[in-house]
Amino acid sequence: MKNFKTEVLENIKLGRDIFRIKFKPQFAVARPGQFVEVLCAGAGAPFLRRPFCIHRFDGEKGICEILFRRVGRGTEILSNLKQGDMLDITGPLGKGFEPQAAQHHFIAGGGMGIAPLLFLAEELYGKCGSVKIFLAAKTAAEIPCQDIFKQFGEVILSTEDGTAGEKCLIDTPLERALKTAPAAPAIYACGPHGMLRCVAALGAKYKAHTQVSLEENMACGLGVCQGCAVEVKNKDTKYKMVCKEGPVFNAEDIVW
Amino acid sequence: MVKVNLAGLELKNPVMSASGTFGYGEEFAEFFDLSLMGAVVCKTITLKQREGNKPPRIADFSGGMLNSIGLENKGAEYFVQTALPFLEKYDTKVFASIAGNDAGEYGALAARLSAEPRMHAIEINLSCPNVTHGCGRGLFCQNAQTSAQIVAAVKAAAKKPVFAKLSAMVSDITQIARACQEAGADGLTLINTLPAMMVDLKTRKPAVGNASGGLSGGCIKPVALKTVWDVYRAVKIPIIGSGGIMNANDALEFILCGASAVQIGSANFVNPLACKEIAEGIEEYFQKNNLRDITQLRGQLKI
Ligand SMILES: Cc1cc2nc3c(=O)[nH]c(=O)nc-3n(C[C@H](O)[C@H](O)[C@H](O)COP(=O)(O)OP(=O)(O)OC[C@H]3O[C@@H](n4cnc5c(N)ncnc54)[C@H](O)[C@@H]3O)c2cc1C
Ligand SMILES: Cc1cc2nc3c(=O)[nH]c(=O)nc-3n(C[C@H](O)[C@H](O)[C@H](O)COP(=O)(O)O)c2cc1C
Ligand code: FES
Repeated sequence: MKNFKTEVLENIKLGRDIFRIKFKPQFAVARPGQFVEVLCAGAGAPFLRRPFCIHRFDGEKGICEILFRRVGRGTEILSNLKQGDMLDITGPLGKGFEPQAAQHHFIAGGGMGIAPLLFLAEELYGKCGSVKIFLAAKTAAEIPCQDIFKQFGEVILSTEDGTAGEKCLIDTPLERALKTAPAAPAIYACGPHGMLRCVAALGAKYKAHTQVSLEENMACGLGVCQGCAVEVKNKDTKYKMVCKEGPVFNAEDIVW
Repeated sequence: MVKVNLAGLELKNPVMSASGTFGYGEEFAEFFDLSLMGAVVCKTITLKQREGNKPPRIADFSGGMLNSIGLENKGAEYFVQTALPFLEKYDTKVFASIAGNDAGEYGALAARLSAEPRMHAIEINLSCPNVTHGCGRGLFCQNAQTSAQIVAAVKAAAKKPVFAKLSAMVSDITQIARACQEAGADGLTLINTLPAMMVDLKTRKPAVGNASGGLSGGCIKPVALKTVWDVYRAVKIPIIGSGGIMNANDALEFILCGASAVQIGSANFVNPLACKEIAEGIEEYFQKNNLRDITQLRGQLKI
């Protein structure tokens, strides 16, 4: 991990309140599921850095992207950045997804949980077996990069209001696919806590190895402050730190 | 170099980490050479491992942050076996920070650690707002007599300099500070986080799982400065200033108010190079102003 200052190469609005920032990373290697801590500077800026998953990464070309939703002052400040503005970044942080040696891979993203999954889909694509990508949100406008996802596997959409794909939550198409899968697939999921709990339960029911990427408020992002605790089923410690031992965990290890 | 003599302990510069914001230094060693620091103060340890409080444990706003960690740590043995061997590689002083449920536990920790040559001093955490003490009487340091008892127990067991870390949330800080001095404390660390709350109006819930927590960051600096200034005039033992130090100028303000050294806390989260940059900034200020010794600035506030 490194701390560095770098220029915004591009900041594109992809939908209402959804933005994608591109910058040149000063690290050559990153794993899907890892994240960066971004300093939000300016009037009324929050005190602490804000964590964002790595959305796309190309170490050779020197390109890194984050995809985020504007929800508060920190993300508002980032949404206003222009090409050439400076970013202060620490990363890459945390442990990413571990690709499983399965024949079928199911990727499940809810809301902004899709952010780290493009990088993952790209990695899984062509490597081993088939990739099915389940993307879900409240409404169609909140699933910004479905076309790019389509390059890396079959995309199955669902929205709460029916404006894209099926009108349902993500568990409906996911369970249907799990039921008919010839062999247990590996599941990789990111999204709101409730959705992940649901995906974890489905994974357990169909004996699919399930990894989930969790969120918790962070201070250091480095594993020093014990701030981002998540309760785990573990004999030695009650809590693990999302920033260092996660953000990706095996779903069966989490106390849901 | 702006050397500092802290109760007989020589630091190469006045910059130390604040307990709980630096772990045992391992993660920050990836960003800079820890040998550039005057001292590393480790995360507070207890005799046995502690789980810590219910999440969420962190909240923030523009002026600072709230934490309700609850002294999660792996216990004294882990510290001796992991942190001390790691820190031995660096040319810096190592402070252990200790907490217990009563004077007996504090004394036992001091006795265990004093056998370790790789630890140079002990900081007694009397002021964590995130744990309720056995007696249910708030922070230990809110009572002069309790503070003195704990300091005396640690002094009796420790062969190294002992610093008592106090809170500003007391009726008369000079009274507590004097009680610690009389009980044998070699120095004081001022201040710990301030007990505080943040509330989410949308969910009508407190921002952290433990309802309240400790406030730190830039917003507490004015409180910390006054505490240091008040205590500086009331005791003879050296003071380590802590609270909202974000840059070298903040650190120099503490020295002006009477601090012999400073601790960098929440700033480490904002800028992982904070300790290194603040040490460099202090050095630069001393050179520019032809100051040769810290005593030329310490407590020299013009009133
Ligand atoms: C490891 C990790 C990776 C993350 N990756 C991404 C990512 O790739 N893209 C992304 O958009 N976000 C991501 N997040 C969430 C992101 O960090 C927060 O949205 C951000 O910190 C909000 O900062 P703010 O200052 O704008 O809002 P704050 O002022 O902190 O919060 C404003 C309001 O928004 C609410 N809020 C905060 N976070 C969220 C959230 N995640 N969803 C909904 N409401 C929220 C708060 O409760 C509050 O009411 C990630 C979080 C973690 C821990
Ligand atoms: C996340 C966090 C954890 C802390 N843990 C401890 C601790 O274990 N022991 C202790 O004495 N102080 C602890 N503190 C207090 C700091 O050491 C410091 O005194 C305080 O944060 C004020 O300084 P600052 O404003 O520079 O952060 C902690 C502070 C924070 C923010
Ligand atoms: S945010 Fe500090 S330990 Fe995870």
